[in-house]
Amino acid sequence: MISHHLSDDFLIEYANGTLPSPEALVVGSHISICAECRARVKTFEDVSAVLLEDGTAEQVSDDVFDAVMARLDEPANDDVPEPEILFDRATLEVIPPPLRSYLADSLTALDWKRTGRGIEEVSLLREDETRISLLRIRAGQKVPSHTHRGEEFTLVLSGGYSDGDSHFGKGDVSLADGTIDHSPIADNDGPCLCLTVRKGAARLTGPIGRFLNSVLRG
Amino acid sequence: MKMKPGVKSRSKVLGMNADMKQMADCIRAIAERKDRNAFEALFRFYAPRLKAVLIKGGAGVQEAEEVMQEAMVLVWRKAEQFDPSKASASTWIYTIARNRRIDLLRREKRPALDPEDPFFHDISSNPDGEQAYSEGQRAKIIREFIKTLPAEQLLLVQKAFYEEMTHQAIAAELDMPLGTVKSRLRIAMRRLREQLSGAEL
Repeated sequence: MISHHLSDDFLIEYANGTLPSPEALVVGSHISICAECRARVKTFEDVSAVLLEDGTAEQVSDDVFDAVMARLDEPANDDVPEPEILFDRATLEVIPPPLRSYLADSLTALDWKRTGRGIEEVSLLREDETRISLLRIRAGQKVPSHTHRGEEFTLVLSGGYSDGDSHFGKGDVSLADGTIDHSPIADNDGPCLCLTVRKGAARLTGPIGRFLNSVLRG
Repeated sequence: MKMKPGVKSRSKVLGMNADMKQMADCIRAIAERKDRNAFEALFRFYAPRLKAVLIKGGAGVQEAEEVMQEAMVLVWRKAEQFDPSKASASTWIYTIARNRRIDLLRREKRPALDPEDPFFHDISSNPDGEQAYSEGQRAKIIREFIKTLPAEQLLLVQKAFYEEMTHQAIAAELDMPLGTVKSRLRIAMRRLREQLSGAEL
């Protein structure tokens, strides 16, 4: 049962194709697990589809049409390249499809770095102000109290953790910023695997705090 | 193979008031027997609309035609994956074009979710049970809903869902606080979801 979702703002921009890729990765991974948010995205896509049906038309020449018809018999080339990596089954069952292209190998073969007591991290992307990582926290481990310089999305992929009065299990998302001081504790019954997407302080000039309240719904 | 005469008459039938059930049948006909006339019918309806929406979204004419052509070729190739019980023809084609636009114009990938993927084996595809309405009924409800939107909300919905502008860009263009854009869109979509579920949320 997923109880921490993303606000509709994110789902709308995701459906409209306007969400930047780090956030789109979080949304795509969340809706891979959360059927409720997946259904919402579908509804938002339906809205775009109706507007498309009723929208204006720009003339398309016969030449363009002929060019497309001529391409139909071409063999499907590499417009959707197949993933080159053969992940093991455990990885396929835990890593949502939108996240897989960020992984160099199956979970057990990744370059895990110890970043704290009982905490391991694999960096998947470091670019400008964005950092995407997998975090593995040992069962029962308490993560030292911390705040964030930028905004940080955390999506639970397996296991779970508690933070204050809230519990986060598979599929739950949290969005934290510099105003939140938290100290999560992994559940006792097994390690907790999370996707974290951190955006640097430079992007934090906007009114993040204002919409933060609306982000956690339910 | 020349097919223009036959197709012309078909696209006239499908013209502006295309019956969306027929569009779904066309995709099935491509999947089942590589039916080029069916493809032409889809092309005549969707290609000009996709081109228009891409131009509205800020693409140049050439870019718009490129994305549209790529998307239509993918419609042909992926026709077997279309499931009319899960999405209308328009929603299916819209998502293909949207993903293609993201891939080509933003150089990032958004692969479609494959329901057969091992990831989904213990995740029920639709645990909230069935949708209250069929795809056709949903489109009708959405169309009616859009008609009843107050002008200012309609404008926001069009900019976000049709012109595919970011909320930030909408706020800047309309000189409106970002939070207002977001909350108005949220409220509109919440009302729509209420109507689609047939119940208070």
